[in-house]
Amino acid sequence: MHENRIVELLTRKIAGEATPDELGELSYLLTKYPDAVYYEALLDQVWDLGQEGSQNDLDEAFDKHKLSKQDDLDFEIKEKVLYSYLKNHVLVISIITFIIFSTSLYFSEYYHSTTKEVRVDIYAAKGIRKEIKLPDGTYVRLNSDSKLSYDLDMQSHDQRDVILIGEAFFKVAHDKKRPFIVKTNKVAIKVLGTEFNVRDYPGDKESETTLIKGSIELTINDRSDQKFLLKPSEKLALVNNINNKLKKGASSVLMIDNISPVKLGDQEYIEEIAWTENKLVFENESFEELMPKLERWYNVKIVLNDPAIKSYRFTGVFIKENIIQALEAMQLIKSFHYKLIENEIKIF
Amino acid sequence: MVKRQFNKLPDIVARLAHFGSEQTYRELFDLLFLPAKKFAFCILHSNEEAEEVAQDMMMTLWKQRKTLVEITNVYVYSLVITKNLSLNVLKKNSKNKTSSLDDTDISFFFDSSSPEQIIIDNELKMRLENAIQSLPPKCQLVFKLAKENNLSYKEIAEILAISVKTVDAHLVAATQKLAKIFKSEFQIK
Repeated sequence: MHENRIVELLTRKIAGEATPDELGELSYLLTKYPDAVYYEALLDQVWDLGQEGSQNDLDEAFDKHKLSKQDDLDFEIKEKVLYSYLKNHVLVISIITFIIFSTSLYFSEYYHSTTKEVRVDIYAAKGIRKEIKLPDGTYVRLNSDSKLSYDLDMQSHDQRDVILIGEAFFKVAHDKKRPFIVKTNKVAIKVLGTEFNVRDYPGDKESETTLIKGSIELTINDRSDQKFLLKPSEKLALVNNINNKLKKGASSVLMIDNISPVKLGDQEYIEEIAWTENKLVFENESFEELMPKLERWYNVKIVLNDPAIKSYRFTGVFIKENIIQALEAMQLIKSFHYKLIENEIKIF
Repeated sequence: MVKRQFNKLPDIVARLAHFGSEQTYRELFDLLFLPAKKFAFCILHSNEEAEEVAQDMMMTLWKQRKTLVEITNVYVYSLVITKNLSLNVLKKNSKNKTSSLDDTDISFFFDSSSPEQIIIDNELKMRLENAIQSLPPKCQLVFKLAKENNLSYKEIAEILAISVKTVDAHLVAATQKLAKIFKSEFQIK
């Protein structure tokens, strides 16, 4: 019976499994028995019945999932909290042990698994900035509370992949054949040879990529079909819109901007990369925005609950000041009190 | 209709291994949770049990996140885990020694949330559902996985542990059933 054969061929066509010969046979049969075209239309309709659940269901399901599995879902952001409680002198030791531990961890994983990659993790704790030279000659300056992971054998691959959590400045060694790719939790940046800065701290509302020299191609992990080309002195900021959590499509806002130097006294600073010269520069920033930066820079924990003080705005640069001198300088601009207990600073 | 973007899976899995962050885990959850829950529901007929199985499947992936990169198709893998966990639940419920898909009732429904159809009204939808439900269990599951999860024959074969040829035969059997109803309903010659 011809219709059995037609339905059989239609099935394979819809399932995406029909061979070219079968497709040919099908279109021949459909011209011979034009009524059979209804089968195709109807099966298509059936295939379209109820394909997707809504996003709202997912939000609810995820919250429920987190609640019921909270003991097992040990998201790795917690790592950060641990570090903020450690004291300065303990930190140096802990960084060293961390590096030894994490490299040995990777080495042991290497021996136990079949993958031939040896990844190295470098972690700069709070209050510490680190300079690294990668195997390909790329210079990286890693800011406080940031982690960089790279493949020791990166030059034997088609591309040089590194993974960054936090902030780093890159001077990428030129290699046309092997693009250099920085991946963060939110974006991926592809370059050939250039100088740029990436900031993407977990928990921060904004992630930012600033290009100093050359050109880079940036993709955002959520929307991998779009590519952004940055020109020198341009920066791209991705701001998470917390209010819009429910609508996933509109959960972040993109801003492409030119970098503008900050003038302080007779000096000019570029805020985005000043940290690489050990200068903490900020322009017209609220205390609330400044807080995480100070915490990372000085390895302290700041407790600030007063909404009025949170909205105080500051412009300035800290170079050699310690945290006390920094806070005293800020007190000259706006009045507030602070109390330092071990590594915790209460602002009131 | 939003197509789930499974081509992003390898990237998500790679990031999950390195960051282990909630944000990346959520991306994985968004892609895999609902298909797993629906699949488990077909076998278990209970919304709560299906949800539990889908959650446990996600936990399995989370615990294996460091080695998940070695798995070629995590989507298929997630459905294999879902099937096995569902069968475990069946085994526990019935206290039978063995549980196999061949002697399991399958519930099949077209989603009620589908956009309004012009040709296929509710009455016809019910007749089609009944037709599908009269098929053998694996045949129903093949139809579901091909239609709702857009999986290839090879992927379905892997999930249900049957051959590619059997997948084709099952799917054709299912559509033949539907075609028979169309033929009488619309008097196709």
